[in-house]
Amino acid sequence: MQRQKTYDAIIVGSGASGGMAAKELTEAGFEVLVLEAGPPVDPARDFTSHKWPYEMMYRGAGPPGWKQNEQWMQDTASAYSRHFYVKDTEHPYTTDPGKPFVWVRARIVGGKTLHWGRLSWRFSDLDFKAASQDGFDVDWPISYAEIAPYYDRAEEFIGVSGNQDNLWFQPDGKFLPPMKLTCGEHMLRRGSEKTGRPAIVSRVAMLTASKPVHQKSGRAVCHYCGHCGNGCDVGAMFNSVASTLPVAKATGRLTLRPNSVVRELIVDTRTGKAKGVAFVDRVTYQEREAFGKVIIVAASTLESTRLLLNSKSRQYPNGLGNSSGVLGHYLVDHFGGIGASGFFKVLEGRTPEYEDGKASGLFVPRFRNLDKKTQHPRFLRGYGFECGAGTGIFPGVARNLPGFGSDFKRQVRRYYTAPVSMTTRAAMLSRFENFAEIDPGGVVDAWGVPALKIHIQHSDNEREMAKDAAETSEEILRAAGAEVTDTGGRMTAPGRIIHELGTARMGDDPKRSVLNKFNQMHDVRNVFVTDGAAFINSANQNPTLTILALTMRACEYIVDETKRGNL
Amino acid sequence: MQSQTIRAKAVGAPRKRLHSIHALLRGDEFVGEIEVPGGRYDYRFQPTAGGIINGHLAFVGDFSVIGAGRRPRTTHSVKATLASIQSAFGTPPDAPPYYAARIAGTPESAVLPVTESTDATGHIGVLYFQLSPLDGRALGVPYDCAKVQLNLRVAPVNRAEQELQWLLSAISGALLGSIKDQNLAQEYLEEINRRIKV
Repeated sequence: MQRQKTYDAIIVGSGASGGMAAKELTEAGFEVLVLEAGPPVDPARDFTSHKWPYEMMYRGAGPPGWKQNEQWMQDTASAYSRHFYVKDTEHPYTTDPGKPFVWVRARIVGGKTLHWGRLSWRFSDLDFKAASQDGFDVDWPISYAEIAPYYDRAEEFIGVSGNQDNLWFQPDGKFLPPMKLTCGEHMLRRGSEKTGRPAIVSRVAMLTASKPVHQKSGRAVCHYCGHCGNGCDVGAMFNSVASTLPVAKATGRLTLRPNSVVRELIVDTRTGKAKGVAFVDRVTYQEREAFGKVIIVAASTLESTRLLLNSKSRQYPNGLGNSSGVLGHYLVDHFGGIGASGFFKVLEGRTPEYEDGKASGLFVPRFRNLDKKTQHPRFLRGYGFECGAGTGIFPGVARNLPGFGSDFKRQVRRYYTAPVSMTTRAAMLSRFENFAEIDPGGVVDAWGVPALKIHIQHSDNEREMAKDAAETSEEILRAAGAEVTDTGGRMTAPGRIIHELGTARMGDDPKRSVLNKFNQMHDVRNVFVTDGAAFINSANQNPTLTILALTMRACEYIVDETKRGNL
Repeated sequence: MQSQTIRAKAVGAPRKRLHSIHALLRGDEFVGEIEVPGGRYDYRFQPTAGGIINGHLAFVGDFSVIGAGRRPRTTHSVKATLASIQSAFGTPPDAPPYYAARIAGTPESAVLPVTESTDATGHIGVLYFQLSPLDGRALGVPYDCAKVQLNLRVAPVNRAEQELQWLLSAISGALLGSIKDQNLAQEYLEEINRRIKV
C-alpha cells in the first residue's frame, strides 16, 4: 500500500475565503487540498442566469411546496438557484423557542459566492477601533493601516466597481468605473444630501471593465442581465468558480475534492498540533481521512465553529481552540427589515430604460456616532441604508395593485419606473450571550455530524437603532420628493441578512479570544480560521471584502511562518 | 481505491447507519421518505398518545415503512422523544379558538421595533425527535436503525395543521423556553391527545 500523502495545506470550504486561500497558497508553491462539503458545479449546466420564466418548470416558481417543505430557511433561494443551497431536511440546527435564527447555507463548490450580494465595502478604524471610541467590548487587534494593502489587492483581483467618495469612515479603494444610478437614485441621492447625509454609488464586485488579471481567468465584463443570484455564467461577478479556483488550478498544485463533509480535525497527541481532518463522503457515506501540515478552516462562520466544537479530544475537551471558552460566542448578524418605500410621482409612466438589469444601487453610509457631533443619545455604533429606485425583471409593484385585465396592466406599467426603497443594514453589538453550541439534545445531520444550537436575540441597542432608522429613512424619502407608502417594519430575524459573524474571534489575549491577529489559533498554531468567524464586530458594512483581505493576509503569514519553520 | 492521497478511514467496513429521517406533519401523522444510498422508502409515523416524560415531550405510535411494491411493514409502540426544536420565521399559526380567546388580551409592547417571529409571533418550524431503536430488517430498510432522529417539519396547509403547530409551539415554549411551565405544557398536550384520538 502506498504511503499516504501529507499536503502542505488542507482548506475546508471553497467559498470566498477558501477559494482565496487556495489561490494564495498554491501561487506560493503549496500543495493544497480543498475539501468542499457540497457537489461540484458546472456553470454550463447549473447556472440559470439567462433562463426566462417560460423556460423553467412551473414558470420559475418551482414545484409546489418546495420552499416550505425542503428549504424553508434558505430565504434567498429561488427555483433558479435552489441547487446552490442546502436542503434543510438534511442539515438541521436548533434554536430556543421564539428566537429564530435564519441560517442560509451553500454547500457547493464556490459556496455562497455563487449568489452573494456583491456589495464590497472596506471597514475603517471607526469599526476596527470601535471600543476605543464608545467603550463597548474590545478593539480588533489590527488597524485599518495594517489591512489596507490587502484591501487593495483583494479589490484589484476580484474587481470592485465604485467611486472615490472621500469619506474618512468609508475608505476608498482600487475601483473599476462605477455603475450608473437610475433617475430615481439620483433623486434619492439629492434628497439624502439635503438632510446632510451623503449617498454614494454602491460598490459591487462586478466587472465594469476588464483588466489583465480578470482576463487571465476568462472573466467578462458585466452585460447587465440582472440575474446575478442565479449564477453569473460569464464570471463578471466575483465568485470562487470563475475567479480564485481557476487560478489555483492553473498552478497544478490544487486538489479539489467536492462532497467531503468534514467531521472533525485530527490532532497529533504528541505535538498537540492538527495533523489532518476526518470527513465523510456526502454521497457514499464512506468515512475518510486526509493529512496536512496546515489546516485552514474556511467553511463559513458557523460551519467553521461547528467543526471546531466537534473536534473534541483528550487534549482539547471543549473543542479545538477553545481553551478560552470563547469559541461559539459573540455571534452577530446585521439587521434589516426597517426602512421606507414609496414612489416618485414624476417618474410614473416614463419609458423604461433597461434599468432592470442593473444589479447595484445607492448607499447611504453610516452617519450616526461618527464623532461627538453625530453621537446618538440612545444607541452605540450605526447603520447605513441600501437603496434602489426602479424595478427588476418582475414588477413587484404588481403584487400591491388592485384590479385585473388591461386596466391593471396599465397601472403596472405606470408605476414600473417609479418605485423607490431604502432598507437598513445595521450593526449588532457583539455580546457573549449570543452564541452557538453543539446541540445538547444530541441532534445530528444526515451524516451523523452533531448539529449546532444557536442562541441569539437583539438587544435594546439594536431596537433603538431600528427606531431611528425608520424615522430617518422616511425623512430622506420625503426630502427626495417621494410619496411614502410604507415605513417602519420589523427587524429581520438574526441570520436573515446572511452576515453571520464572530464565534471564533481574533484578539491579542488568548484568554479572551480564539485567534491571533493573523487568524491563527492561539491554542494550535497550525490551524487558521479565515472566514467571518474571526470578526470582533460586524460594523454595518457587508463583510466579504474584509474576509478576503484577512484571508490574503493570513496566507502571507502562513507562507512566511512555514519558511521559518514555525508551523 | 480513491487515491493514495486520501485514505479510507481504517476502521473496517463503512458504517451503514441511518442517522436521520425527514417528515412533514400531515393531518396528525408524520409522513416522509427515507433516502439512503441505494434506496428510497416512504414511511409514516402515526402518534397514538403523547406524554411528558422527564420534562420531554414524547409520542408513542405506529411506524410503518412502505417499500416499492410491498405491503407496509409496521412496528408498534415506537417512542419519539423531543430532543430539540428549530424556531421558524414567517407567518405565525392561528391559535385554536379556545386559546385564541384566552390570549386575545395579551398586550404587546410597541415602544420600540420588534424582531420578526419572536416572542408573541414566535413559533416552531421543526421538531427533532429521537426514535426508540428500530429493527431495520423488520421494516425492510437495510440499515442500522438503532438510533434514528426524526426531523418533523411543521408547514401547515390547513387550519387543523395550523392549530397543531400552535399547540406544539406552545408546548415547546413551556418545556424548553426561558420560563418553564410543565402544567401549561400538560394542558396543551391534552388538547393534542384529544385531536389524535379523534
